Amino acid sequence: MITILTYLLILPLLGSILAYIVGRKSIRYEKILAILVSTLTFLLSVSLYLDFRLNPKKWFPGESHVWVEQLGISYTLGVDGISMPMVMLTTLLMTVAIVASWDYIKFREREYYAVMLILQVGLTGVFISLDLFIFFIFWEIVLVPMFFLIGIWGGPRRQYSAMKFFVFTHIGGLAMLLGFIALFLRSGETGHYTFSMIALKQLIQIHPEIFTLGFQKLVFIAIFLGFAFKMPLVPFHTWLPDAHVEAPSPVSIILAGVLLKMGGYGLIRIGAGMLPETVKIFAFGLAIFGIISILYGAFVCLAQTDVKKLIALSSVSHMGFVALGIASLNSLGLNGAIYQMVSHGLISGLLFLLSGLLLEKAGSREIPSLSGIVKKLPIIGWVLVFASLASLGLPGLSGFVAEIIVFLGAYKTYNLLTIITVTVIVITAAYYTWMLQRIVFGQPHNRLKEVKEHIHWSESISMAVLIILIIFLGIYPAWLLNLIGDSSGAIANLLGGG
Amino acid sequence: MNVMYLLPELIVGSFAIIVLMMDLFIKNKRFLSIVSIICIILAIFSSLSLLNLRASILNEMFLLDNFAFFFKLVFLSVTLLVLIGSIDFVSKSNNQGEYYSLLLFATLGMMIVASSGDLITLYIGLELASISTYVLAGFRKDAKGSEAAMKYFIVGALSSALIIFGISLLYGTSGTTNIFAISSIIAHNINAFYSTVLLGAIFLIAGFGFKMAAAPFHMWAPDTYEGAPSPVVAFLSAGTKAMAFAAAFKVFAIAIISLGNNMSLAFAILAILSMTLGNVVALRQTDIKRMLAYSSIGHVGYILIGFAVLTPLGYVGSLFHILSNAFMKSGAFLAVALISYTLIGSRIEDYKGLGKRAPITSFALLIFLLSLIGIPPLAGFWSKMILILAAIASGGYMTLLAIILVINSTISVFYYGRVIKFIYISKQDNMERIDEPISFILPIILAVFALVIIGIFPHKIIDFLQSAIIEII
Repeated sequence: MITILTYLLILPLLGSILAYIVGRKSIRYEKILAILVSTLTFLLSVSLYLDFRLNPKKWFPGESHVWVEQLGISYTLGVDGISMPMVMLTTLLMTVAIVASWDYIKFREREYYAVMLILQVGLTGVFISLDLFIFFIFWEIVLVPMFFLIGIWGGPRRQYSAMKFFVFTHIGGLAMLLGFIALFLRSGETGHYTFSMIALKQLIQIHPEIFTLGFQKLVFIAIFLGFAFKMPLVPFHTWLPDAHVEAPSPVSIILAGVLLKMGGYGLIRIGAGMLPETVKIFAFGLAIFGIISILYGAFVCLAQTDVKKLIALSSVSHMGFVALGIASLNSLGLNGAIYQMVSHGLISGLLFLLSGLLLEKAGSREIPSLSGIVKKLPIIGWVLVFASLASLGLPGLSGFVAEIIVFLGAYKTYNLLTIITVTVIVITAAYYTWMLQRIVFGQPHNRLKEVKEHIHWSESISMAVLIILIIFLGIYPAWLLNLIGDSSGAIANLLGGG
Repeated sequence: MNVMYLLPELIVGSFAIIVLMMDLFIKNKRFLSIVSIICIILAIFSSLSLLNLRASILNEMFLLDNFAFFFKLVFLSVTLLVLIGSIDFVSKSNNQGEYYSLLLFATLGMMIVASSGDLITLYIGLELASISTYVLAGFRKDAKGSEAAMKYFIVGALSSALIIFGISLLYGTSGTTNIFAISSIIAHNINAFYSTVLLGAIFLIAGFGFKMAAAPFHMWAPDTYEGAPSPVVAFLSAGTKAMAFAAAFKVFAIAIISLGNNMSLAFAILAILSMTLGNVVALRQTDIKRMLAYSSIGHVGYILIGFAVLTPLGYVGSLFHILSNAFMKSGAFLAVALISYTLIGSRIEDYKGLGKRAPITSFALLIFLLSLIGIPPLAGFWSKMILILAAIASGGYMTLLAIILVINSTISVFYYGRVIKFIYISKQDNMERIDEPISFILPIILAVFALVIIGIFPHKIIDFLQSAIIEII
């Protein structure tokens, strides 16, 4: 039986082929088609959500077909409270990114939209697959379109950045594959070879004598490498500033908004969900990784003069919260981690959209040459203020909710560390205020004299949608927390944190 | 004896002679290529009827089983792709008749190797294929072509001598040339024969190492691949190489399997050397044919992992990789043939902006390269994956092989990725669309389809190979 889950994959795939074909006629067609397809996919994910709220059990797993029987691989898809928000985030941001590309991408459009839609297939697939092997396949599929998106439509150093992105995340992916294969081979000793996440999770619980702690540790290290490269945690983050600075803005939205979430999601689903005992052992280390990423990202941001690079590095800092939330081993921390992924997806999406607009309208992303921009480009300027404050953690916006929950969860487990982190983060969070001070106030820079504000309808819609959602999640966190509550609670129970 | 059992070989053999004869009388040489293509299609159909058949004829010299069936289909499909891809490539030559008939003779030799149940048949098949390909390698009579053929011939003759010497040692100990008889005689008297068989094995490993182009026996391959005509290189790297593995399988996995761990160690070393050398040296190549030659050495290393782990799963992985390699490499070399045919050149730099200039070829080349990297769900990914699985499953130092494979796979991203980067990302001044002749496009598209279909239905292949392997070992 084929369900909405498969349609979520097939629709963009067909859309991609169609966009390439109709793009021959006129360059408008493929834009309209791509927007249509991505919107339709978003609506599909909303309908999936509505059905999911009615009977969550039905969707885990929602669909399963045996594929390679000899290797225990089955095409199993499903959503639970953790993947559901990720799927909606993916389909939403994809629509936003494609809409935002309308006026931004000016050459080889046909290929661009085709590749973007393929990327959507891979991203959605990662979040809905419940078989380690299928998960890995989608994980690798994401690399190829991203390589081209950065490499073809990127900035001056795009070739170097695209290669670096590909190689780094490929190394992580292969380490992860080794871990998966090890799990698969061990599962054979129970008499039942399988790659299925659900089956493996049970086997690991039932047979601690086969999946010994030492073995689990090795597997965790292998898969952790894959996720750490993707998230990215310091010191695995070096590909990120390069990739972000060179990628075109709509692609950056996806890169920061969705791609990085693959790492955090995998850490929760496969790390905490399947190897809880190991995560308990490594929790302190994970917390340290998280805190180092939070602080390092923030400190490095202070030194940036390129707005986009600043936003990119702030992503490292924000993804550190995800790691810290998971490491706190309780449901508060996990909820916070997932909340942070959604919230950061929306906020960084908005910020990257703005950085693209700045480059396009003001001709520069260098902070010194953007001074006084609010006077010349009021809408962009004020939205930038809004987005920066959201990213900073202004109460009432989604970023604040996420960070406060993570800190509360982390405090339960690591009191002293959390206090230190909170203190330091307050100091370092100055990077946004400092940036805003330099950009918003002061006399307009000479080069901005001729600048006039024209905002394309596509850009206004994208910004409006993201702003509304950021406010909504900031003042009504219960909606998302209810959605993720049950699933994250179950994992927290495994971790012993309740 | 049933003549039907030999039908594919008879068809290929007789058509090879017919094409040679027709060359004397027929003015329109294009007709010869059509006759050869028809011959291969007939042979494919006649061999399809031999599926799941298990028989031996001619005093057990000639075996019919699924192992032979698998290899025959691989050889015939590679030959089909190469024949179609050669139509335009050799159309200006005066020796088309010889070209096609030599290709058919080489295919015949390869098919005999796949079916051989006796070291004599095996050697005859091997030599028939080798001698035909020596001539084909020198088909372009310029300096580079002659160098390619000369190197290939000298190394080939040396390796044939090594193989026949190894065979003679095996015969000396066991008193027979039948591989199954050798296997059981050696297994029963392993202590008495040990040193002689080991000596024979060393000669055979060296001999087959040359034929496979496994490091450190690889030196001829880059020069030969660079100088020989590209369709012939496609044939060498996809077909002849697979034949060397088929022959090696008969010798090492059946005849002298009792050597066990010693042989396993030797193959593990060869595998590590080939993987690492092939992939690392490929990084520095500027000529795409040389780069693919080194990558081909790397892939030989991957295939050898199956020979090192000595488990049925390992052999399944090896044979699967031979299959995916056949389509990846023949497709890639035919794409290279197209590009050099249209006078763009064969330096990697020349591929700048190719995505615009030759969209179909570029897309196909992208698929071949992604499959060579091992991006799922293409064929190359599955076979690598099974090899990794087999290596980790057999534990011990074999796990190291899996890790080295993974590291090499990462290294290979750099050079394959660079070609992809040149094709799709780099710009060039001359961006005009080039003509892509159908004779090249057709086999390339077929190879792409094969890779995708194998990638979607890997379980069929695994099933089939598993039964084929278990049947004979």
